[in-house]
Amino acid sequence: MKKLLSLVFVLAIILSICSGAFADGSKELTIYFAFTDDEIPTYVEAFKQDTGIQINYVRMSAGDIIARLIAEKDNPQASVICGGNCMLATGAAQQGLLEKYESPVLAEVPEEFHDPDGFWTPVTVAAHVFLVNNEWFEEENATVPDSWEALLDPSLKGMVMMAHPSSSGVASSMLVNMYQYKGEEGCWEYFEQLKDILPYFNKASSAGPAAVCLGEAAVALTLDSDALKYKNQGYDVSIVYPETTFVDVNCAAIVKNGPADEAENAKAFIDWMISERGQNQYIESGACRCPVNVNATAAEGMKAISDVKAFACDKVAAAAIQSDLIKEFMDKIDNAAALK
Amino acid sequence: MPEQGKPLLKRRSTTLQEMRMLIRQPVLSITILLILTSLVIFILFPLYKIAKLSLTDQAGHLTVANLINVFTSLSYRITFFNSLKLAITVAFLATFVAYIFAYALNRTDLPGKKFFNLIIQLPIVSPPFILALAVIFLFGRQGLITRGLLGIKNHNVYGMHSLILIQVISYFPVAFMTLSGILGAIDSSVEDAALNAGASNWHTFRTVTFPLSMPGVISAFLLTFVQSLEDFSNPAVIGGDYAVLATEAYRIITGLYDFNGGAALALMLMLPTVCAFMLQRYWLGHKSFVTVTGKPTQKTRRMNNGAIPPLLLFCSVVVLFILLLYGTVFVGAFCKTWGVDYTLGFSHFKYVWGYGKDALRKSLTLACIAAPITGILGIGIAYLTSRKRFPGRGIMKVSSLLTFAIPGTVLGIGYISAFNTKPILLTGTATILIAAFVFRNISVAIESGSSTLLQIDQSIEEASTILGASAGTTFRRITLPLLKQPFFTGIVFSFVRSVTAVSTVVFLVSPKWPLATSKIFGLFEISKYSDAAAFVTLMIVVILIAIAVINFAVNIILKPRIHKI
Repeated sequence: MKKLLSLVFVLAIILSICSGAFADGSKELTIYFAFTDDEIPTYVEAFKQDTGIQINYVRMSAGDIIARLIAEKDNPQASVICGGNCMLATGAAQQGLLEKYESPVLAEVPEEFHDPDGFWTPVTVAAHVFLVNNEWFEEENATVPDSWEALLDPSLKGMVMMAHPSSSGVASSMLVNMYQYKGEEGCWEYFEQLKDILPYFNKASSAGPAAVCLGEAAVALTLDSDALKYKNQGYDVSIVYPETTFVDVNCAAIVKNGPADEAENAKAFIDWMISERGQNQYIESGACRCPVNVNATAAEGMKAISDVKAFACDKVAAAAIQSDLIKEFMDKIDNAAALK
Repeated sequence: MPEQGKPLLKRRSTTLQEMRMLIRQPVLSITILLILTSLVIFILFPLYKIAKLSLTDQAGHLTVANLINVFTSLSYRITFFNSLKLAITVAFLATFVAYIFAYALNRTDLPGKKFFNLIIQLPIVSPPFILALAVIFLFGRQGLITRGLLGIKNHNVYGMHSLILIQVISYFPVAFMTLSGILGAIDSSVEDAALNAGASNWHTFRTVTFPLSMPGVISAFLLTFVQSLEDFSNPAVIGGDYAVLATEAYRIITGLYDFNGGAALALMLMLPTVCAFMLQRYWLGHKSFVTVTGKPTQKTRRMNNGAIPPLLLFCSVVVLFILLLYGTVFVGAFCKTWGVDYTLGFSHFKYVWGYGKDALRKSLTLACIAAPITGILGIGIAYLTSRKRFPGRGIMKVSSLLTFAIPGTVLGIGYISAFNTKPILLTGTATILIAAFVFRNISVAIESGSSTLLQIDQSIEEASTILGASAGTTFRRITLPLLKQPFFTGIVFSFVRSVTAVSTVVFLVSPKWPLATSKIFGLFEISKYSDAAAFVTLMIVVILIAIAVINFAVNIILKPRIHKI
């Protein structure tokens, strides 16, 4: 009984101690990263070398990050979010979760990627591509799809993978892009048809590309940087850019009311991340990301964004309707499937 | 429950008696008070926050629209029944498999017991999604078995059938641990009585052994039922189009940022669990399962008969299958690129060590703190609720019951909304993670503790008290040693689950406390399967060592003491 008692006490004591232990020196910075877990240490190291600031970070999916910002709204724990789609950031800004910041280094970034409202800063751009399993197409003698329409080819039935827009940043971005690209009617028509080709909508972004790498599916929708990573690991896959593709701008932003002693460090990080030095880290880390700074070098095997025929999406308008579109998607496309 | 149905006056006088008893035993009353406080803070308060979320709209106004939406929407209804169907199937199969193992290992002279015992611990010590991966590798379209061995093309591995397979393999060990405690403790003299009276072995099993193990069977069923219901990672990885509530709730929150709808869905997820546990309590409350009486007994009887060959066959098949799955993971850890290039090497271990050793160390630290707290608190709650009468017992029973029902994601959201602001500010600390681990995993300790206590005759404890021992001494020296198995089960389960938790920590993991599973999931997401496999192999080794240490420690602490007079 005494042991029991003392342990419960310990619990209570730990509780009271830990609740007080917070504010640290100003040589630290807390970031929620949406980049992949293997590349982040490179940036953290390089940033520390250049500035002496220690980054403490958590790696989450972009959706998790926004959900967490909302949950922590009354007492934000992070100063910066980095790596998520700018549409998500625009949504977060509209909810009052972000702080405006205009970096002086933005001059080195093409104007087309800037946030007109000044909340987020672009850190990398990524094109929507098809990740294709070579072996399957050889064996089945099928034509590799090279446009959004070609994806609807009946011979691909059951072999195309796309995540559900409510559970993947790429998929939700594709949905809003498609909405602007094809117009309202054309968009739903497209998804009606696509639904017949897909076995189902995946619940995780990574499930589709994984299935293609392992030969469980033939085609998956993903981003060029991710696709190149899979390819570089040795899987027998190719990257196909759809004839007109969608381009995502991924960004960093400062969290409103984040830890006060980190405010200056947060700005320093964003300046650094989009500087030539910061952007070149994408090669060091093996992340194959496309840099936004005009002076930076792109990774080998990467198509420059200027060579891609990209659809000009109105990001701000897209951000405003994204959430509603996903709900509409669930009503129109999901429920119809459930009723079958 | 003896107080049920008594007239009000008499009940009030029992309350008075209870109060008096508490005043006489200050240690006991302080313990009760502390446990109650922690339950209120770490279970009821976060749950209240979730309930509040589900009853408000995004602007914070009171509404029942979320709940109505959840109950009227067709797709949610389908998801709800999907979850139920899966959970019931898995619970049934897992309990069945676990019972056979528990019976074979506890009540027969099955050869190779130690080996079986070791292998079936494997599934509880690894993050579940790695099993899903092994299944894809073996049985997928390009699977080593389906394609390579059997030449089947286009075998679809995604869907309910794979989910059932993986969940049964993942969860039956916990059911086994619960059942093992029960079956090991059944006094053989009752079986002997039946056999002496002329009953056959089978008849004895059917009418004596099995009914006496019923509390364990029901506990095992419920534990696996709940685990299947709240499983998040397997449906996400291998569920295909089979949508379940746990993934839906997560999707609604992180995809649509609809915390209110997510909370409403989560409450729906708790409904079947709470109902099931009410039924269990009601049913068990009316029967006696006492077989541990303190009267002289003989060694556990071994049914040494024709039952062994079929039992051996069954156990071997299951164990071989587990070995096949883990063997795939193990081999994968040494392959250059799993699925493509099978050149062997150690490079993944080197990479993973650099990449994840910090997270692994922190995960282990947290688990080492959380596990003993879970074990002691769980056994304490089990003991107090089934042996003592005191004011607040109802709250303790209900809130400990609720720990079964809360899915990981929901607990995470409840914690972050409850402990992100004053008065209890815990976000970003180790405490919030430890608390989440303790209260998320305590159910197994409570459940196996309670069902073992049902077997132990109160007169053993009364004898101790009559001989002059205090309540504390009696608990420590008499009850606790008898509860060794559930205590061990509770600690091991908590330890393992703390190291391998996925859904609970999504919202709680903080920069200063990176966790191993998040790191593995990170590798999984960029399809570095061989690295993920290497990490998991490393983790399994570490956890197995830890279990051995826990086993050693529990045996030393709870060794029955013999005093020479």
